[in-house]
Amino acid sequence: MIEQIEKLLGQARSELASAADEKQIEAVRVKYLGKSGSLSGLRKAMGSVPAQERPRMGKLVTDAIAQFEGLLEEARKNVSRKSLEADLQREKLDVTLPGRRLERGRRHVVSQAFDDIIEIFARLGFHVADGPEIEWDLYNFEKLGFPSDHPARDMQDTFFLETRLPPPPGSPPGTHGQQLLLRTHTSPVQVREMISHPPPVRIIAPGKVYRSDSDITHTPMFHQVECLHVEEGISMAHLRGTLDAFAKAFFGPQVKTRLRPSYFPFTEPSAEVDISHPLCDGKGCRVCKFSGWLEVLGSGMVNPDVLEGVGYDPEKYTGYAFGAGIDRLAMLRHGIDDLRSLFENDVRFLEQL
Amino acid sequence: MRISLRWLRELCPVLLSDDEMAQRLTFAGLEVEGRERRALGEGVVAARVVKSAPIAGSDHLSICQVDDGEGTHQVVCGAQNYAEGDVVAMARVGVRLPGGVEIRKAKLRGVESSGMLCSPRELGLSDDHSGLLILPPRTRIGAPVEELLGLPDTIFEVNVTPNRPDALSHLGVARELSALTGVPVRMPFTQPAGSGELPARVDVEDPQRCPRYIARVIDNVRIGPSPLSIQERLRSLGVRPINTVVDATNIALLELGHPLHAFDLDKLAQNRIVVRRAREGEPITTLDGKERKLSADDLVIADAEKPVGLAGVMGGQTSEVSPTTKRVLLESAMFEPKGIRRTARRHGLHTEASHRFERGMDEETAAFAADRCAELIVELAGGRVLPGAVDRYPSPKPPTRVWVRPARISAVLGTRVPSAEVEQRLESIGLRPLEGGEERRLWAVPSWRGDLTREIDCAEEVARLRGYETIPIAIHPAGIGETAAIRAPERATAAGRAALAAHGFDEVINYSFVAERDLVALYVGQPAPAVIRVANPLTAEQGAMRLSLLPGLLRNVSYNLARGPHGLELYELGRIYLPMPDPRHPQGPLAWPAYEANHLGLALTGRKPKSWTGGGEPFDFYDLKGAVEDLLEAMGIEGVRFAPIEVPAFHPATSAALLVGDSRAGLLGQAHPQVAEHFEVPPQTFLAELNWDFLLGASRPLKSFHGVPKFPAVERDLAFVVDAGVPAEKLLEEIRTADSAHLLEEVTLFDLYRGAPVPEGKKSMAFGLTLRAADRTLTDAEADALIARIRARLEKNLGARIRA
Repeated sequence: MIEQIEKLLGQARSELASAADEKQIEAVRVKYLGKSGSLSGLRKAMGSVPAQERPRMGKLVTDAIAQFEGLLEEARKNVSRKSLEADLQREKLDVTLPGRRLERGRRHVVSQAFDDIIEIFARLGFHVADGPEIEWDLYNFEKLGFPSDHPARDMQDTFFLETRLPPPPGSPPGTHGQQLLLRTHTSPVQVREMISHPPPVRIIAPGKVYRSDSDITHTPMFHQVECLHVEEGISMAHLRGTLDAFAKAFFGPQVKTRLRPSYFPFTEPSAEVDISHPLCDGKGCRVCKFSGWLEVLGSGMVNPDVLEGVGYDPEKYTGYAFGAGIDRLAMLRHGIDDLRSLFENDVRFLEQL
Repeated sequence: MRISLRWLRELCPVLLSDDEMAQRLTFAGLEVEGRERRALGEGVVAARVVKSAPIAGSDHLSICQVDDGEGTHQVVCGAQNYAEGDVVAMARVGVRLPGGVEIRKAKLRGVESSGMLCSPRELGLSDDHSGLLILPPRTRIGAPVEELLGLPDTIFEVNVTPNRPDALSHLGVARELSALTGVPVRMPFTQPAGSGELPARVDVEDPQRCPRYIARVIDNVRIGPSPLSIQERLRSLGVRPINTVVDATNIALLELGHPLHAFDLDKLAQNRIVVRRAREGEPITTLDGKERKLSADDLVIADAEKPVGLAGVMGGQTSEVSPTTKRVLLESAMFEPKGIRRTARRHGLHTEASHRFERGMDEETAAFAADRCAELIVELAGGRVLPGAVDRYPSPKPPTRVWVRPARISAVLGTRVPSAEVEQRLESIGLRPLEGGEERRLWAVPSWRGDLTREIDCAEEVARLRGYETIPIAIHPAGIGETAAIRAPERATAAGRAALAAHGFDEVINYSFVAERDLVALYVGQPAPAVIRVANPLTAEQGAMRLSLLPGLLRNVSYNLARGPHGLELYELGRIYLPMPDPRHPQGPLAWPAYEANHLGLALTGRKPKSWTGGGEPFDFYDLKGAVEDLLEAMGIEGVRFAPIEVPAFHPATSAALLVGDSRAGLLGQAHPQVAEHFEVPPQTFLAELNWDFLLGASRPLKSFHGVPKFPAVERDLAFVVDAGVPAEKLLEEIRTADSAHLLEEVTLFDLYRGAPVPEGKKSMAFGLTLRAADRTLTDAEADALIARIRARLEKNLGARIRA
């Protein structure tokens, strides 16, 4: 009997090992444990075992059945693992197919620069101020030291407006100041801000400006940011400090700034500001005409006449101001060489930036 | 202003290279913007044409035998303006001309040629290519032409700012150089007036417009071409040589900066000069050959009968110096800048003289310039300066005086400048100390520095002469409470832009001015509202300030579609310009002249991006509406509704007004077919224009937390058939206003169907309803009861037939 059990178990083990699925395992189970299964048959055959042998033999059979069930369980696990593995293989994806993407829209490159500039100046303590683009001559020119018939007006080709609108109260009728125009710079915001706020004033005013000019470096509309800081004890060293901080924040810490004397009617002393060319690292290239420097903005100490004109005491308060072309700053950052391309709005341009 | 370095070094003999000069001047405020080298080298020499014979078979080439002092060469030449015996400029073999051409031995028409006879253009001297440069007959043969012309030289293009008319001259730049280096200026020779009676009479009728008028007379002049070196000097500085007398006035102008004019005294009626206002409509023919009608505001130089010049702008033809001129009346005057500017503008003239007078000349230099120019006329045209001058100067101008405090200058510059240095700098540019002490001193400003009237002007002089690089770098920190806040509109704008970007909208920036016809087209037959017009647009396409962002966006759509067939999603956030008072900005002096309202414009057309997983459907109204809804949600705007509307620019059947509360906040829909046609965009183009200022006002971009629900929700579906004309909003309203509707958390339309088996004129709709009570778990019975009430309402009020 013992030999028989050993033999049956051996047989069952090899049959289960070669069973490929649940069904075959079931067939093996039925073969050994079914009604007429060979292991169940052993239980039935117990009757013919001598009585004193029965408990021992009975245990042997029971153990054999338990062992067989263990084998069954193992075989089932095996089969289900194999079938899972096969399933997993069947579900294999081509991970190199493109993903399901959303078409992300882009900010205009000028608008990106706007955000950066506002952010940088916020860190330096500047508030954003706003002003009209349709402006009176009074604020665009006269209050900024450009009297009528003054040659400094030649520095800015002006768009005038044909439409008549009610003039600002308080300006003498029929004067030049009542002429409507498209602001040629963001500087009139300086005047408006100082008239409406007592010092200290620390603002930037980004926005659109207009000059009647059109070629590779000029468009009739472009963007400027004005910066104005008036307070007791402000000197030209603070102008340099703010410019340098701005240039480094916008273009990178390696960028250097330098000032060159210049002239603007509303600043004195006045300075053109150059930055070391961020693309060639100041080494000189075609874009910077091999000088290593690029002129980026005009600046200076607020002219005492301007301060007096807005009711500030120029003996007590000093300040600096500058105005930068945002489009040009953006072009420099992105290596764009034609200003006009900024306003063509070709999506092949927009979607690269 | 073009500056000859050779001339500059004659006036201020500094030992600086061209590069160093450029550097020093630029960093003192006279920016050197460009430079031109004028040189011919040793190999271009004076040579005599010994013999010249035409080449057989050529209609213009000649074989010349040319003596260059070292021998006779055979040269083939195509020019016609010379004769045998003439002295011409010859480039020897091996020379490289300024244009880059290298002279080699060559064969032309089979004839050997060694060297080249040159025109002024070939030598880079001028644009004249009409013939050879003919040299004076007595020129030494073999002499380098460069020497004869006063070359080599370097010409700087100096950008002189409008406040520095004194620097529009070689003397002015020399003074700068002297102030920067300490090398003194060498003043040029003059012919002082002395005393004597002149055969001319001068009356100044308008001393305000002409505060000083000086006349000198030079007798017995010879009119002819100036020496080559003078001609070259003028040409190199952009002035055309005319004749000895005119050239002398131009040399004086370029040297001292003061404009002068020479009249033929014998052509002045009664030998008189009258400086007066023109009579309205009075004619004059100016030196440029144009006949002009004068205005009563124009100041003229007249003789006893008629205007002979536009004062300070341009001379007249009648009194022009000509080859027969014998006696010259030389004018050196001072004219009021604004009047000159008005006249120059009125007549569309911009001359060397008007450019300077507009910026401000001075009465003292006028006298010096008269004496210097008299000397130059005699040098170039011979003759004799008659002793004496007419000098009409009724109210001599005292020198400007300025108080200067070195401590104030230090404070403005942010660095300590010692008093001694301030004084040295001011003296270096010609200021003279008058009174006061180290702390505060009164200075007399030289006549030519009309820009220096205040202490701050002197601060700038000190700063630029010592160099802006001496100013330190400092940061002034923001004080307590001065940190800029992130304001709600900024936050809402950022959120809105992010939502648009997530939807795939690219941002565009268009010009604020548009073609008026584009605005008109937008109103589809209805009259367009009033528009602000530009008086002097660059083109008619930019003649009107935009009333809407749509024309720009529509142009962008058509521009892009012409360059590639794809879907477009564009937005612009910008101003429109309305000719009416701006409600946002206070009335009073600071009121904004026009209403510059901020708008958001959207344009959508074509198909969605297509990929292997799908896509490629055409954009439609609901894509646009969805974008608007997401935008509003991102900005925290609630109480939003959409209502059908018929307005110009939009298709009447497929357009909606955006309502926030009871206010119309924008329009969206399909482009009107006529609008689509006008702008050449597809009919399936969808547009939106929203009032951004209003939306910012309605937004709450910082949202509040309301807690997470504690009890589970019950989901129910509700499907029914209604008349196709019943708007979805009506159904939602009925669903939401049923009793116990506070239990209704969310309603979603998940199916909409028309067509069989749904009867004609009906539609089938299916809504998913989420029900939830805040304080307990909702029972099925409660949910069923609510659904039943909703069904009943829909059936009763809208005739809906509920589907199982």
